[in-house]
Amino acid sequence: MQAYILRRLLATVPIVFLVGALSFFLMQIAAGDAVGVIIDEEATLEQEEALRDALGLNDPVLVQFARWMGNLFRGDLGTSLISRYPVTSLMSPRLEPTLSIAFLGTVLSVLLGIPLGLLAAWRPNSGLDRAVLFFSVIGFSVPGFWLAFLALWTFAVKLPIFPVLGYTSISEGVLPWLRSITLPAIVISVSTAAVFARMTRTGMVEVLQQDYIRTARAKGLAERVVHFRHAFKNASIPVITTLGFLVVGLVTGTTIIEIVFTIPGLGRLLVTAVVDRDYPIVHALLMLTALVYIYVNLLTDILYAYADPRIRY
Amino acid sequence: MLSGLIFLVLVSSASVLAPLIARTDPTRTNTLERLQAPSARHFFGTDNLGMDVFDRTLYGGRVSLFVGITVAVSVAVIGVVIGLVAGYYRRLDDLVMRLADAMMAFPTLMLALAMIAVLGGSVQNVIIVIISVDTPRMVRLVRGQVLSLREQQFVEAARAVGASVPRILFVHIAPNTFGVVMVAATLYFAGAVMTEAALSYLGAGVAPYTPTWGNIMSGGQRYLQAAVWVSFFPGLFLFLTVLAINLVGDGLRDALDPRLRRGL
Repeated sequence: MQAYILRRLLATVPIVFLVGALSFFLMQIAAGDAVGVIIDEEATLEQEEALRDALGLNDPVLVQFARWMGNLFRGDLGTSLISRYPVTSLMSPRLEPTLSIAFLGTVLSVLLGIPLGLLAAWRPNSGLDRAVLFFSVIGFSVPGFWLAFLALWTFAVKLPIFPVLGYTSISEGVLPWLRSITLPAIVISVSTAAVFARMTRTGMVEVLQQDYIRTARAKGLAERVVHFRHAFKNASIPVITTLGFLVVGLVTGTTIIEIVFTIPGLGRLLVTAVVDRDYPIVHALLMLTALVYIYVNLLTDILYAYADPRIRY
Repeated sequence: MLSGLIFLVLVSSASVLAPLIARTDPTRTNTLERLQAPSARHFFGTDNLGMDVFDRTLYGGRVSLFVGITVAVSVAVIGVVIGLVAGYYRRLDDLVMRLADAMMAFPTLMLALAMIAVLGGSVQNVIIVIISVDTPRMVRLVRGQVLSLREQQFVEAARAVGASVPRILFVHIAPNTFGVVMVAATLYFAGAVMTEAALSYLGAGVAPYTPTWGNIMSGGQRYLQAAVWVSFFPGLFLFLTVLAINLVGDGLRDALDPRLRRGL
């Protein structure tokens, strides 16, 4: 097991390097403009050249790349072109809202998706099964931001149960915090719940056709026990592996939802930076989410190997 | 599936015929008729500049469907070509797959936003960006198919009678990937329509006053309390279009992949 973990950990090194190279290359295309973003229009050519020197833009590309990767691993994500603050200090206050919504969203989608999938698998091809399938198609077809509009309009404008906009920190009390993230979390959990429902259902239907299930039934076990104790254990394995992907998906999925609900999270930081062409912020967020994705992915693979001893690569 | 197909035909013909159906210029403001509720005169009401939301939604469909179709076709073509070649030549395979893995580590919307920050927003750039994001996924899919197909006897037979590598790839192997590619292409079609709307909504897509579903919704956001219809109708069209494409995709999958018919 340890050898397996070590091998998988080493295998991420080239991917991380490539991801860094790709995002560096992308920003390299923009680097010419970076000077244009900061400098006054009246600046002379000499001033522009001095700024390029100061930003290290005149060094060879490989030197710039090495310096950037080095800084990244020391935790230095660069400086905003516009506000001149370090990107890390701009990011840290925005972590809490995004993670709060993603966390509640994950919990809600597991609580909604998995039972729906189990319900559908209880009687395959029944009316209930079709209803769940229909919900899941609707769930991943509905645009999150449209759903967010509808939710806002219904529950904040027409029936003022939830605050219309903004975020209340957990340090100001758990209840106001929950109130401010409930609507966004419900909205982002719909599409993920739809995926969970479908995966659970497919997994269950597949597992229920296996021989050991027939044995369990032949022993005279109650259908409930067969489903939940015997089948679900094996059917949940593919669901666990996607959980990682989906959690990362939720974190990035909050981007657009944060804009609708005007929540000051990472997504809002990203969108503002994209519109202002504040490249260091865009670059840092892009690189960070890719790193999170790679390691969450690795973690789920390791969990997968733990959960299913048959799997060893 | 049939209802999905019917809806798609309706939306696309309404968009193509938008200049004939629309009774107003979708880019001309009319301050006398600001924020009017839906009525016989304005089916979907008017926005804050007095523009007819129904007409703008029809025109918006043109951009969305154009982006969707262009992306789906390009991703299918590029993905199949690269996937075939990568799946066939082992050396190339390693390189292409590592690159695809790295590209796929970036979340779709994040990468699209970052690329738009660099390239700038326009219909053309939105298409380029979505193609670049989706292609690695298609390559991976096709390559997986090729890996198992190339070991089969009909490929060996083709090789035995002296068929050239391009002939084996494009005449013998490619047709067998058709089903999987079609199903994936419909998914990317739906995804591209959604991503275009999301980018435009975020102000990182098509130029602000061009009527697209995302732009109209973004414009209507500030008037949510007074005029919910401005955002509601284009969003409804977006939702129904994506739903229709996904239903068609499901139908295609059932029809083309008998192995999945039982499971899903």
